[in-house]
Amino acid sequence: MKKLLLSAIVASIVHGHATAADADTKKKTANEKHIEKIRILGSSDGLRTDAGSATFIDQAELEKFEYDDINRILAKVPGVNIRQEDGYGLRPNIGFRGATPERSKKIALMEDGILIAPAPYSASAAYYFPQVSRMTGVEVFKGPASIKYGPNTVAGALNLTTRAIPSDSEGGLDIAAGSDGYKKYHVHYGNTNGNFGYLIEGLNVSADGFKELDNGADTGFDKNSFMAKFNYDLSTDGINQLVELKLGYDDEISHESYVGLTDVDFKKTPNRRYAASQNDLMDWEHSNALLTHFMETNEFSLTTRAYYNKFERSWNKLNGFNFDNRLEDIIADPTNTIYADFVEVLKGERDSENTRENLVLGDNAREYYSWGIQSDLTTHLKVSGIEHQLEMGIRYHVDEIERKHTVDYFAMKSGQLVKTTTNEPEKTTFNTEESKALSVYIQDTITLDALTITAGVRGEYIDSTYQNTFKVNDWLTKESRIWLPGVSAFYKLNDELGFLMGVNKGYVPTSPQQDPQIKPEESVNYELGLRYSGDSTNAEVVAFFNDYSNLKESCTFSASANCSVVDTEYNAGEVDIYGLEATASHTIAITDSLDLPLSAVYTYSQSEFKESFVSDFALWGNVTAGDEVPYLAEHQITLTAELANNNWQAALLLKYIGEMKEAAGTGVNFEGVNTEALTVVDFSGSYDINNGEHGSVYLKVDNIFETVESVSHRPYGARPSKPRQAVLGYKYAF
Amino acid sequence: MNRRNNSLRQLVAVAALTSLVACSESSSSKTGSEFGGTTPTTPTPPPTNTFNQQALLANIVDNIITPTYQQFESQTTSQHQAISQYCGLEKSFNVGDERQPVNDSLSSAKNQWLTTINQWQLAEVMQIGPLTVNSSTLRNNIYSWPVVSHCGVDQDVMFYRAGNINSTPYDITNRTATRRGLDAVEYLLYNNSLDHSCSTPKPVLDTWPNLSEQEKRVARCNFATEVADDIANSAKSLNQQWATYATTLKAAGEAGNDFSDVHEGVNAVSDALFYLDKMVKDSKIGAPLGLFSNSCGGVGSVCVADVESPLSAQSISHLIQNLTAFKQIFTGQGTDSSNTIGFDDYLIDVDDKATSDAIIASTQQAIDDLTAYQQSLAAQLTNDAAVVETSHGKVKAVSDKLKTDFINSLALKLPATSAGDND
Repeated sequence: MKKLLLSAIVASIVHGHATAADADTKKKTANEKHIEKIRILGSSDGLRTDAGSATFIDQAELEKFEYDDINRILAKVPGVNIRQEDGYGLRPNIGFRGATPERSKKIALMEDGILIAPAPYSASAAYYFPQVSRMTGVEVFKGPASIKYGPNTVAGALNLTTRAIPSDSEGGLDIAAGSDGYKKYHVHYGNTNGNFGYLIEGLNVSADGFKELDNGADTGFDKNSFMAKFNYDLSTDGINQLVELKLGYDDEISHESYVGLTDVDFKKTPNRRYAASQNDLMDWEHSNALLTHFMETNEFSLTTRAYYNKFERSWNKLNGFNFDNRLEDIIADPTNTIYADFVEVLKGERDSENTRENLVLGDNAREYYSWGIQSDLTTHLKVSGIEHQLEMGIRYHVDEIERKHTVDYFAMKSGQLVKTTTNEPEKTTFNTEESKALSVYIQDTITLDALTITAGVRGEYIDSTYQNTFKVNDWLTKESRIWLPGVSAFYKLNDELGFLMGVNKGYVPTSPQQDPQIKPEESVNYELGLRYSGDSTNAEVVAFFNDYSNLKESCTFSASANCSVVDTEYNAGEVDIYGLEATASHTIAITDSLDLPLSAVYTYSQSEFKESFVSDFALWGNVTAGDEVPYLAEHQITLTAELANNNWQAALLLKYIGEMKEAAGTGVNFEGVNTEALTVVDFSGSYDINNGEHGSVYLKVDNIFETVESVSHRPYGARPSKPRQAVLGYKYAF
Repeated sequence: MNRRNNSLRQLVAVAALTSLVACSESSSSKTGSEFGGTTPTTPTPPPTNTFNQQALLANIVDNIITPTYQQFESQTTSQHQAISQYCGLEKSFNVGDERQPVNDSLSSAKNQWLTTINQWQLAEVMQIGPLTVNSSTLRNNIYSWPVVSHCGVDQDVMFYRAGNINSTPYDITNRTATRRGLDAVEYLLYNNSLDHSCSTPKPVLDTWPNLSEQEKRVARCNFATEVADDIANSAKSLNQQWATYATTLKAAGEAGNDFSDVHEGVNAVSDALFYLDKMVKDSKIGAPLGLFSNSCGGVGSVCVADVESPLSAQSISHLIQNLTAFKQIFTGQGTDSSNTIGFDDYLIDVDDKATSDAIIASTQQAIDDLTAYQQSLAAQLTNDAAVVETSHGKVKAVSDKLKTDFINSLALKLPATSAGDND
């Protein structure tokens, strides 16, 4: 029955219901209260009455498929648009409701409710993304539900929750091995002795990589993640109170590259990597500290958190050839009369014969930090007989990105890259961007009979500075202030069915170095839907319409190499993005001990530029009103079927992503080119040994049918989706 | 009911508050004097004056570009004839014959190549429409510098001699640009060495050392004839394509035209002028001078190997032609001396005569400076690179004006640069 209960819970999770903790009649500890606060979505056993599309994937669900890739985890969340890149999800590109997915820069990305992108205001592109293998919850908010989590409110928020300190001695071990040299070692242990609790956790995930370099070198990755938590319960009668310190360290070395293949080569050997990418390497370290004070009385709860995140990276990768033709152009048009020779050098089939055939490798070294302090207060008031749940918060945040980009020159000699000079690498872009932001929000929720209404507003005051390291007079300071309101409502027709609606203002600030003529991204987002929750069936359908008054894009190397200036931003003016999100789940009880939970997630997305314009941005080009935004699939479907018994479970997940345009307009590379539709089926199964007393074994196979397509031609040619990967693992809980 | 009224009042209050703050958005900024390097090339609206931009386009098309292209086509035919004549003598030459007639014919062929390429150097600054589409394929087939490969040409000499490549009949139109064009002709006519230029073994050249000197000369001249014919065909194609494009450009802004605004058409011509900055200033002078990384090493390495047309030592004449073409377009001075409407007139019309005068004067100074050279660019770099630095400065004076005052006064957009420093 344990499995049956689990299955029922999981079924409800899929369409957005928070996991109901066991009906907890005993008084919760301060730590348990605190955990509830960190997790943003509330618990509910019945029909959720909060407006807005929100989804929570809990630990059991995360462990079912043992995914290391957030892209695959989010397949079960409607309204998520993803551009895959390396196949392992090392640097995810996540957008919601059509917002540009590039490096997840337009969503509010959080770990335990704290902004976790390296510099979320100054450079929101999330080159650091927490390892999801160590997460115990994933929450997604879209529409009005996201106004509490700025600064980016145009799309939504993604919150990852780390393992909590257990109330009793609790530990776990997870080891796994799989194809392409995949290995995982994961261990954690925690306990609470009296008022003092602690947790330590370590995780290592590595693989040799499924791509094959022409010279046989490594294309894999090795990631480490360590976390320690300590808390002390200061509770007294009537006041739950806790302080907690979280310390984290992560690092990654990955032999990744932005270099893909020509279409001809991709058809022959999609997993090939050209010889010229042999030195490409991402090497980063991330450390963070979070100090939390939590207190709760009968009247209010107050959570105050001070945080510090530091991220350093060296990203050494092929930029192109030592002349002005761009690598993207060369790979896009490899038989071109002047490019064919360069393609031969790229593949290592021919030596560099002159300086223009030498290869330029750039190390885009960067240092980031962010720190801040934030307090969130929740209280209940009764005014004129009306019960109000009032939530308010304030955050002071500082972040910075320091770029130290260099380039170096190599010749191709017998398939190997050979440095051409003994000179130090040339310095290219050296600058600093810093942002100081004060943000506040207030949100009031009232319930009038069957109607629950939430109204709130978020304020952002941003003071930013850009400074060129080499030119003292190349600087820019900007101040901006904006208020972002949102209103939502839920009408409960009966205990099973309700309607929701909402409207909020979306916003993405410009980065500190952008010319003031570049406007922030702004939109008005609408949603309307219904929610059903029955005994064994749950469903939710939400239509959304995001009315952008200005869609903004930035030119990054990962999206397109054709950047005249790093991170340059562009205005597109008015754009409409609209669609439908639908989820449904139903559990069939086959026998008393065997359940068959089924679920379906569907997203329909449509977009339209409202203005004609000509842009240097390589993904737009000459745009005509009515053109679609690039990399947004019209249809996405995820179907899941599971079988769960007391000692075993098995699950199949089918994910379909429709074709996507690779360029909006004309006059740019890949105009009129679409990515192929991709259907992938994943399997997972586990068996409890001796009813779990001796742990459990699990087997998962991602992409059973080995369906491989080009996920994108950008920035430098076609790159493959992940081929079939089989992993066998063992878990033991103690 | 009372409770509901209270609720509604409170809701109205919240709504009023949110709508109030919704209107509250403000921003301000300050910049340093050198800020601007990160500004995207966003065009501002064209000036609202009465200058006849269509007349400007018509003059540049009819009196400058079209005659230049047509003259080039004519020269390519002459070049083909001259090389063909020379090769005829080379093929009929026997050991013991008088060599002078062959050498004279070779000199004529070289002279015709020089005339042809110097005509082309005018067209280099007129890269609009057909010369820019498909990643500048047509331009590169005619002249691919700075992307050249002497080793590649040597290989094609032998492929052409064999008549096939791996059993596929040799077809020069399928060959990459480095095996074709005016740069290949220069190598074939001017290279005094009869050794090949490949530093690594190439199977097709295995038998090259076994050929007699005369066989090598014949092989090269035969291929030179083929390349010259290919260039003539490309020139013909250019004029055919240009005829269509010129009609479109002159009608820029009219209903159904590819240029929705006449100013966009003007911007296409303006883009071509930036050849002066990227190619003349940076590639042709700056790189050999060591201002950028070059074949001889990093920044600071003077490098004669990177000079244009190194074998004929004609780089200076090419530079002068480039500047001459720039001046022609800027001042509108073409074949019809009665019509000289140019960018200078446009600048005067928007009350910026100062920029017009400065660009004309700086261009002439740069031409005068280069005309005064008594030796080739390579020799000058070797003997006294400071002189070349001065020349670079004079060209830079023109391009600096072009990139700032010219663009700003005429509300033109800078051409998309490819000097990405990436992310």
